[in-house]
Amino acid sequence: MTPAPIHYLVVSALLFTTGVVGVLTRRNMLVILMAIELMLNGANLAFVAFSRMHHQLDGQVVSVFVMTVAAAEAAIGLAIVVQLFRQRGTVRVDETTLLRG
Amino acid sequence: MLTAIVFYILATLCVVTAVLTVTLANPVTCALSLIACLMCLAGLFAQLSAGYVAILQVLVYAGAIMVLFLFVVMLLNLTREEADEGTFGTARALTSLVCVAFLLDLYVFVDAAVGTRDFTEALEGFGSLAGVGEALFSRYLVPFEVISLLLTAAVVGVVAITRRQLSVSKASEPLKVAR
Amino acid sequence: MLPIVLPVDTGDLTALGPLLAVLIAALGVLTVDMTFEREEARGRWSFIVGLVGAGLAAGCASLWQWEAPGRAILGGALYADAFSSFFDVLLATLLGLTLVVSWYCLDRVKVKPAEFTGLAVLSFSGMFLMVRAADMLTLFLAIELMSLPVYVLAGLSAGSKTGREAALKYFVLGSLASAILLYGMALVYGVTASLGYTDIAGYLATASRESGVENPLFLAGLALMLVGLGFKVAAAPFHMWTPDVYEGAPTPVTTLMASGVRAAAAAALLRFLAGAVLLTRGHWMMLVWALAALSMIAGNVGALAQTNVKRLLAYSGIAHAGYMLLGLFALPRGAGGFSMYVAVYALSVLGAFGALQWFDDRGRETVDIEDLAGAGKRHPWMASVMTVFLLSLAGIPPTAGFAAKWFVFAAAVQAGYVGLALLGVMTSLFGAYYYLRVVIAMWMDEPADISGADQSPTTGLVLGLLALAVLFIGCFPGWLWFLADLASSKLV
Repeated sequence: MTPAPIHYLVVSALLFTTGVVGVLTRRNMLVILMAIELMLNGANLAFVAFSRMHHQLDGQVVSVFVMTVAAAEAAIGLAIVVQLFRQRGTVRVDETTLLRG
Repeated sequence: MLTAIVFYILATLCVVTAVLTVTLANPVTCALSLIACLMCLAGLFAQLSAGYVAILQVLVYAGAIMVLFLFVVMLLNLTREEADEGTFGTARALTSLVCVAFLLDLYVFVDAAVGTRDFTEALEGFGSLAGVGEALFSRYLVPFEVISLLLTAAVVGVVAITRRQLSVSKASEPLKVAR
Repeated sequence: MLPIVLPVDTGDLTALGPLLAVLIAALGVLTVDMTFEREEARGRWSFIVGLVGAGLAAGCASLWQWEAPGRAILGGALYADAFSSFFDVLLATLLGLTLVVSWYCLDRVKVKPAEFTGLAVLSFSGMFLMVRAADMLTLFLAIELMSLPVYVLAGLSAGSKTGREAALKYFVLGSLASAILLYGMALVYGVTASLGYTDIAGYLATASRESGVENPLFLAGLALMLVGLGFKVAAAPFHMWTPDVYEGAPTPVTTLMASGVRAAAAAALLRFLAGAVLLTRGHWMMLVWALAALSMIAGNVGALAQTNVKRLLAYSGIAHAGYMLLGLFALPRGAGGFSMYVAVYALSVLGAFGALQWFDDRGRETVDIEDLAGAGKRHPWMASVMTVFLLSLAGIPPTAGFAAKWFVFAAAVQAGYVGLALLGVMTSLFGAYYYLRVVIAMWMDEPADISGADQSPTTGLVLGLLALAVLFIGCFPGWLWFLADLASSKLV
C-alpha cells in the first residue's frame, strides 16, 4: 500500500477543486484570496508529484517559481483589498456585482 | 508501510483543512487552517523527495505569505463581517456540484493516465538544494530573471496603491499635470 | 563547486533587443520616478523615457532578418524568430500610441502620469516576453508580469468610484484564470515530462496514440490551459468580466487592456497551439470552434443593448476574439490571418478608445453614446477619425478591419469550416448595426454638451495618422498580410 502517483494527484485535484469552489462561492475577499492560494498549491503538488514520477527536477523548479508568483499576487491582492476597505469599509464582494455580465 | 501511514494522515489533514479554509466563517480561522494545510503539503513534498521545496513551503508560504494574510485580517478587524456568510444558496450549491463533477472527471482522467504508475527509487540527491539551485541558475536562468522583474512589478504596484492612500487627504484638490 | 554554465550567447542578445529596450525603459521610468522632486517633471520625463523605449524596441525589432529561420535561445526559454519580431513591432507601436493618446487624459481621470507610464511599461515588458516564451514556465511568469501591473492600474484613479471595484474584479478573475492555466500546465507536464514547447511537440510525435495525442489527462490539461488563455483573450464563455472591468477602469487603462494585453495573449495562444500541441489539433479545434461561435454570438448580442460606449466596445471585443479564433483553423499551414487580425484589431480598438479619451473632457469612467451626439458638428475632424476606427471594427471597406476579416473568413472556409465562417459573416453584418448607431449619433444628432475646450492637437494628430494607417492597410492589405504570413508560417 505504498502511495503511488495517483494518490498524490487525487489530493492535488481535491485541493484545486476546493480552491475553485472557494473562489466562486465565498463573498469575503480575503477568503477568496486564500482559495486562490489553495488552487496554486494544488497545482504545485501535481508538479512535484509528476517531477518525482518522471525523475526530473523541472516540476520542483516550477513549484519554487509558483511560490514566488503567489507571494507577488498575494501582495497586490491584499493591497487592493485594503484600498477597497478604506473606501467602502467592507471586504465583501457581492456575487451579483462580481459576475454581472 | 510507515510511508503509507504518514501519507494518509497528511493527505487527510491536508484536504480537511483545505475544506475548512473555504467553509469557515471567520477569516482568522480560515487563515489558520490554510497554514495547517500548507504545513501538511510541506510534509507531502518531503515524501516526494522534494526537500528544498518542502523547506521553502514552510518558510515562505506558511511563514511569510500567510503572516501577511493574518496581518491584513487583523488590520482590518473583520471578525464581525461574516455573520451571515453561512447561508448556502442554490447558486453556491450548483457551483459546488459542477466542481464536484469536474473533480470526478479529473479523477477518471488521472486514473486512466497514471493509475498503474508507481514511483521508482529516487536518485541520490534528487530534489536537494544543490540540484534545484543548479537548475535555477542554468536551464531556468531566464525565468529566474523574470521573477525578479515580477517582484519589482509587485513592489511598484503596491507602492503605487498605498501612495494613493497616503495622499488621499490631498486628493480633493485637482492634480496638476504638465502640458 | 558545481559547474554552472550560463546559457548566454552574445549572438542571442541581438535577438533580445526589443525586450531589453523595454526592460531598460521600465527600469528607467522607475529611476526617473525616484529622481525628480516635482510631479510634473516626473511625469514628463517618465513619458519621454517610455516613448524612447518603445521607439528603440520597434527599431531593434525591425532590424530582424525576417527570412532567417527561428531558433530557441537562452537555454530554450525564449524563441527568436520572425513571429516574435512581428509582434515586437506591433507591441512597440501599441506602447508608444497608448502613452501618447493617454497623456492628456491622465490628469482628467486623476491618475499620476509617472505611475501610469511605469506600470504600463512594466506590463508591456511582460507582453514582449509572452510573445517569445518557448516553455510553459516562462509563459506563466510572463502572463503574471503582464497582468499584475494592469490589476494595479485599473484601480489607480484617485477620484474613481468604480475603478477599485473593477480592479478587484479583474484581479480575482485574472488570478483564477492564471491558477487554472497553471493546473493545466501541471497536467500537460505530467504526461509529456517536459515544459518546453519543442519537447512537448516531440513527445507527441513519438509517443503512441494512447499515451500521447489521445491521452485523456493530456487533453484535460490542454482544455484547462485553453480556459486560462481564453480568459486573457476574453473569449466567451470566459468573458463575463470584460464589460464591467472595461467600463470601471479609467479609459487610458481600458485602452491598454483592450489592445496590448489581448494582442500579447492572442500571440501566446497561437504560439502554444502551433508550436507545442499541433498534433492534437483534431481535439482542440473542436474547443476553439465552440469558443469562436460562442464569442461571436455573445459579443454581438451583448453589444446591441449597450448605451455606454466603453461597454459596447468591450462586448464588441468579445466578438472580435471570436473572429480572431477563426484564423486558427488555417493551422498547420500558418495562421497569417490570425496574426493580421490581432494586429488590425489592436490598432483599431486603440484608436477608438484613444478618440474616446479625446472626446471625454471630464474624465468620467463612463461615456454614453449620447455624450458623443453631435460630435461631427463640433469636431468634424476628430469625429471622422473616430468614424474610421468604428468602421474598421465593424469590418466595412475600405478599412483595415474589412481586409483582416476577409483573411480569417477565408482561412476558415479553406479549412472546411464553412458554417462557422457563415456565422461570422452573419454576426458581423448584425454587428455593424451598433457601430453605425454610434456613427449616426455623432453625425446626425444635435450636439450634446461636450465642451471640448482643451483637447490636445498632438493627440488629435497622432490619432489622425493612425486613422490614415488603418485606411491605408484597408486599401493595400498585401504588405501586412505578407509580413503576418511570413511571421506565422514558421511557427510549426
